[in-house]
Amino acid sequence: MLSRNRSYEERARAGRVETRVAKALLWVVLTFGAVSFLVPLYIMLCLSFKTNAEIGNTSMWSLPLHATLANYRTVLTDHDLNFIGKFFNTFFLASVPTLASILTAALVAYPFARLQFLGRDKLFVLLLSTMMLPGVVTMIPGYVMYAKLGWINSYKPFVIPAFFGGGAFSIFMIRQFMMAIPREMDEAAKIDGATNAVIFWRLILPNCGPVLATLGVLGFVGGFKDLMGPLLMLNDPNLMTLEVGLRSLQQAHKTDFGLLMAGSMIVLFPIFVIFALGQKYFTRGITLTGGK
Amino acid sequence: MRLLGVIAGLVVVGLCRAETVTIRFAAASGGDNLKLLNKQVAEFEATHPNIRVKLEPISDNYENKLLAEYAANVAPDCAGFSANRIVNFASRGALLPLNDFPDYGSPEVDIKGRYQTIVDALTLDGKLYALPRDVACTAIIYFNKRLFREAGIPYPDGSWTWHTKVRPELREKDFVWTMQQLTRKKPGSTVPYQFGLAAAWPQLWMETLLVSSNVRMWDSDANPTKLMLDDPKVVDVFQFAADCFNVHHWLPSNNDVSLGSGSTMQDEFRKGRVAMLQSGAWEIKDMRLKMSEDWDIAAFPRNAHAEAPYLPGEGGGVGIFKTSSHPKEAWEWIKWYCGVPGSTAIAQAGETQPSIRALALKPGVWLPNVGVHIPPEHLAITDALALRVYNRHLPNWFSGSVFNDLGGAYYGVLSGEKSAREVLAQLQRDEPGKLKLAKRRADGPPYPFVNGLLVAISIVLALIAWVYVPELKKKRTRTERAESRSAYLFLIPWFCGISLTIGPMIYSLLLSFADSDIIQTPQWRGLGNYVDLLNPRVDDTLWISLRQTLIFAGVSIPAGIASALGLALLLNQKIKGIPIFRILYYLPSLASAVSMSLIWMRLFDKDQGLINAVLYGADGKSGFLHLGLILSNLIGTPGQAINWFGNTKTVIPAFVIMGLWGAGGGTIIFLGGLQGISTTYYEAATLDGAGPVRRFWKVTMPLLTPYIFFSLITGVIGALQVFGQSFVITAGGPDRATLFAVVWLYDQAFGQLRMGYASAIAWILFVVIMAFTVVQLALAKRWVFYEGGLK
Repeated sequence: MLSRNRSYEERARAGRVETRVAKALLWVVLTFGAVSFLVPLYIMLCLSFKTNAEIGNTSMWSLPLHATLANYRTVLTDHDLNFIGKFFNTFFLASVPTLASILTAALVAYPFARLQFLGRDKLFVLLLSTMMLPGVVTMIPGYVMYAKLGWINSYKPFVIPAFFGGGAFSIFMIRQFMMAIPREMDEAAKIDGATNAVIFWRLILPNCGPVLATLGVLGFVGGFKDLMGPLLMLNDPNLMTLEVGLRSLQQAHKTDFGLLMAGSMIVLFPIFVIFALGQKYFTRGITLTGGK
Repeated sequence: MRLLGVIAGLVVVGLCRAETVTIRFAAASGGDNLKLLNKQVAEFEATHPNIRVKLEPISDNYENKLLAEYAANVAPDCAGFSANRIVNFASRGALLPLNDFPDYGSPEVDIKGRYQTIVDALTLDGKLYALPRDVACTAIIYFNKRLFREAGIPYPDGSWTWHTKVRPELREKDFVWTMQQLTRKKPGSTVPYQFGLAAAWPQLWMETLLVSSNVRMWDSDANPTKLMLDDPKVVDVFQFAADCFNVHHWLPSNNDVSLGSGSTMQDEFRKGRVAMLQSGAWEIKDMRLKMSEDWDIAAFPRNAHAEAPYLPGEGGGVGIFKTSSHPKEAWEWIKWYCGVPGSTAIAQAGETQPSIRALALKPGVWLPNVGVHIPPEHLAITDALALRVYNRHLPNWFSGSVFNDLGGAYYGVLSGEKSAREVLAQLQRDEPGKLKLAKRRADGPPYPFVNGLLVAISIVLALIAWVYVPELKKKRTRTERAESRSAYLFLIPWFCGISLTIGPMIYSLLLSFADSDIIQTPQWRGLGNYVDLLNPRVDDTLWISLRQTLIFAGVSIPAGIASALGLALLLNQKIKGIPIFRILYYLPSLASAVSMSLIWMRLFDKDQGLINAVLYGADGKSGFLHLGLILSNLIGTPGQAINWFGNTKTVIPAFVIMGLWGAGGGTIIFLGGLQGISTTYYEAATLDGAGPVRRFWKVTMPLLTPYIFFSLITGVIGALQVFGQSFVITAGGPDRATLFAVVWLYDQAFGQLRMGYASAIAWILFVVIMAFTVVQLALAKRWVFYEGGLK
């Protein structure tokens, strides 16, 4: 614990901006950047509080003159849309597969990063190649395969494959992180007779905190916003997700900008909360690497 | 006795349950529409106790999902089909002909009482494949009464005509003259402040003129053998359609108002910037709710010289899949749903015009009063228009190719780069070859599935051999063998999973040597798809598409990595409020892509967008550092504000700029990497007297190279498969500038149902991506630094 605190202070001294002037300057730059980054969201937020008449007659920059919650009420209380039920579905589909895939991706990444084995480099190319074919042409055969397995209209196509390594992107990213971990510790552990399983579980995985948290957030956000997966694999409206609900809202009210934006805001909110919570972890990191 | 009663009761219930049949009904719907559908299903079930209807609303990718379900043999029993797309399913034998039901001719089905136009549209080779539900003519003219009064023009009564020349002597009886009069310009300005007409979507105008003028572009709809695309009449109409935008500015082009989703033209009309709007009858409901000024509708004019008063239209009905195991029950449902009970409710909700003519003419059913005073003539006008709808019946091998190319040619003329005569003459030269190919495809030999399976197995074996055969020669020590064994234990989940990934991949590879429309069994085509793709005389899209994709990748990858890295370095600083900043910068990449695209369309708007406001200033001439004027000169439109999404030179930069707002995703990858860097290095470097700059280049950068490498590899893979922005905003345009490889192959796969061709494109793209990746992997050894790297 003590060593960790110390290392924080030293890091502040070492790799970072120090003087007051520099800090102030940085703050200005970051604020300016943040403001420009938030422009689209500002417009979305303003539009979501406007009535259609107001959207038609005022500039998109103007704050809502007669701010109304009607758009939010419409979205949240629509019985057929059932946003609350869809929220729980979405939460499940965003979290469970993500957790499973991160864990198994770390398992698969470990030998690619730190072990010598038969055909490693070529298997790695094979791993990357699974990302290279556009999903458009594998969509139908994939669907047919899941249908033959009887997985259609259930969460199985989302959950079960997540236990199989969770995709090349995650494996590749964790591998990169693991390769950056110095080898002294596991060499020492190996000499002490530790098996690879022990080294993975006790030494490597605990050092992968930042990358696992990063992938956790990316996976959660991706799962939360996934449209094609639920749209294709699920039939029952009760199983559907928020993004699909939002889409049907858009189809029904194509010209209803305010309603659209309110829907987007409502979907954005939970991801925002998760990210706000998650970022604490991956920015603090569970970095033991240097804490000898 | 009581027990017996209970048993008897149970038996009765059991029998009833056994007789109850559940049918699945898929419908493209959402929101309000869904509410009504649920209500209708409940009503139907109350009167048909033996049938349960399971509603499967599909809110997006409707046809794609049906195709996937049909391919997997899990299609719903019945589904809605639009008049213009049903041929894709019906001509391939996916649907049940409804004429075979014994009560087809009954008054309940009432085929004779329905608009003949929609019945014809859903009929193929004398068989009806979907029971018509609604009819929709897309050529209703909505007009703003105030603007007519101001111009001193009497309100149109539908007796007007059009011709490709203005006929001032006819005054308001000439549609073109009316359009001209209602277009208002400020003196000295080329772009009007008020437009005569707007079409609800860009291609509608051309389509309407072609249909309305009765021009023949091929000899026969059922079996086209000869094309007449360069016929003077076709050229004349084509050029006129484009000139209305470019030369006369009677219609706002993408250069004149914002290029937006279909909705903006309606907005422009409601704001009074457009005097007339061409759209379908479904707009009436919206217009009543949202239009604050006085408005009315009129019929689209007849062509002055054409014999038939044809107009384009949509509409649709409900068909039964051949795979349905309960066709009788499905038939009961669609008879009800597309019959008087179902149609009445839909018409009363103002959704669509019923296909049953008596209902469409019944006051209070179709177009009922909703608060505002509605002239009763609206019923008569929509009725008359429904009778004028003309749907072509083209064979599926023909329609995809020709309409796509006609659309492309139209945009070429619209962009002002070529004349109608040139593009149509070119099409006339190229098209017969393409059609011959398309037709030959329609009767190719069956796909050798057994051989295919053998090929698939040999591919897998070859891959295994490629990985392991060279390894066999190497001598390994015992510890090495043990390490290898334990490594494979870790890989078990991946080996389980790879079959789920590699199976569909191999299938698509096999399909790239076939003709496949997803519905029917594939046909063998050999190398044909690849030969066509690589031969620019058959299809010149591959080179253009790959070029544009590579340009996008070349600009977006460096920009994306640099911005993500820079941002990560800034956000890794230890100053007050940094957690908040991290969230704020990441927020845009969390928002819904579609909503963000809609906002970006407004930001890049030519006239009202923020970007041009900064570049050109309020007067259109000053602006920040006069950047706008410089840029306008650079892209060859001096004096005009940049039309970002409408110009072939600026659309990709605009996409790249949009992409930067998603840099948050890349940033958190680098942040994760930065957090992993041990502080001891910085301490050591500081002790050695290294300053911040030196520490950055000697410590931070080398240790970040694994993540830069990761971003490069995944960036290339992602950028070469770019899809979303083009799909939502520009649909491949302008002039194929954003027809990126995946956008194009998506259209081939699901727009044209040429899955074999799409698969061939995908595999060519695969090879390109693979080549880039292999080169990067080889180069990585020189610059990527792994602290814990193996040899």
